[in-house]
Amino acid sequence: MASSTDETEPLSQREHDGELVRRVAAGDKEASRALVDRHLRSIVSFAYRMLGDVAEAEDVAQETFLRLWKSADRWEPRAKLTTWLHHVARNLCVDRLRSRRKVAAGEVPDHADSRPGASTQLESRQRDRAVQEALSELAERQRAAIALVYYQGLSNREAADALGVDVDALESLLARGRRALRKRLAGDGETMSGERETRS
Amino acid sequence: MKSEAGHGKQVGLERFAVLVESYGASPDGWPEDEREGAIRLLERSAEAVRMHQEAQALDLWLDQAPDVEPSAALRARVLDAAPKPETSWSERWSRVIEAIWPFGPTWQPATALAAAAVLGLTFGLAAPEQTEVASEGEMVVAEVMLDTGDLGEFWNEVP
Repeated sequence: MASSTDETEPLSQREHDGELVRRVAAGDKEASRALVDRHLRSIVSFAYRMLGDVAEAEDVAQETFLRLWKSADRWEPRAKLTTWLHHVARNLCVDRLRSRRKVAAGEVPDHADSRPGASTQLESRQRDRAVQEALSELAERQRAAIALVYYQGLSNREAADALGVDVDALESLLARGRRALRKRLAGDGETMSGERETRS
Repeated sequence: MKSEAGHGKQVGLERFAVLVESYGASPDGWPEDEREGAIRLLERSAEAVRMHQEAQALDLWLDQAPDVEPSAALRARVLDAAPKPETSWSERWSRVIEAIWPFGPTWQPATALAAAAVLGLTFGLAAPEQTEVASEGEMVVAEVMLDTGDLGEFWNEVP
């Protein structure tokens, strides 16, 4: 996990990303390749944590980079590329999650805790599967916060920027998300409904 | 991680609880300005140790979550969509020519076209005088025929 403040990352990293984006705008293939090598895996991973589906995660990553290519000639050097990419990817994931809810409306009332024997099934699965499922049960903003900070290693400010909240709100999302995960993974029989945010 | 004493904020037990509940057990994940204070508290407070162990247990779970690698196909699609280099006027012109003549080098059709143009110009410049003379001759014949007057009946003749 990376450090949690902007200052710990060398400034040259941001400058280097900015320079690469400028070169991309001029059609420099090497610069495109460098940016893809540096950031594609991270964005696919983040989208996968958000959506739990590899194909959808790749679609989101592709669309995120398409938007970067289109915006390359208008790139603001002050913006941090990692934050921008995660912000775009997160918005795309939210769109997909909303579409899923529309499709599922009226069909699946609440797949989280209402299934008979859900905790038994959870216990019988592999740990990794259990964790992914527990993450997918979190409210979207809690899941995004944990994915950005814990898995992606963004600083608290970067993650807050990507989510469009301040650092205090980010910490609240993280703490509630982690508490909900602990209850779920510990299998203490409590549901996460009390931790879940009202989904918009 | 900084090693100098006295740097960073003081961290109390309440704030320490927020830090480990939010960012997990690894000091690397804690905000840098509070990291040193949190570590100092962890070294002297049993309650902080207990909170830290709780956070560690959840981190072990979280580390089990599966991750994915981008496929080669995705990488290729993304790179293929990247902006292309600006082309010069001559390069764009070459592409137009290639679209018209996709059969190989263009010097052969270009030479043939040039030769045809030269021949056309040559004949074009040489031919008009002969045509003019012929036209004058035809006019004289026509006038002679009209003047005779005795040919008018042939004109109304039904074949």
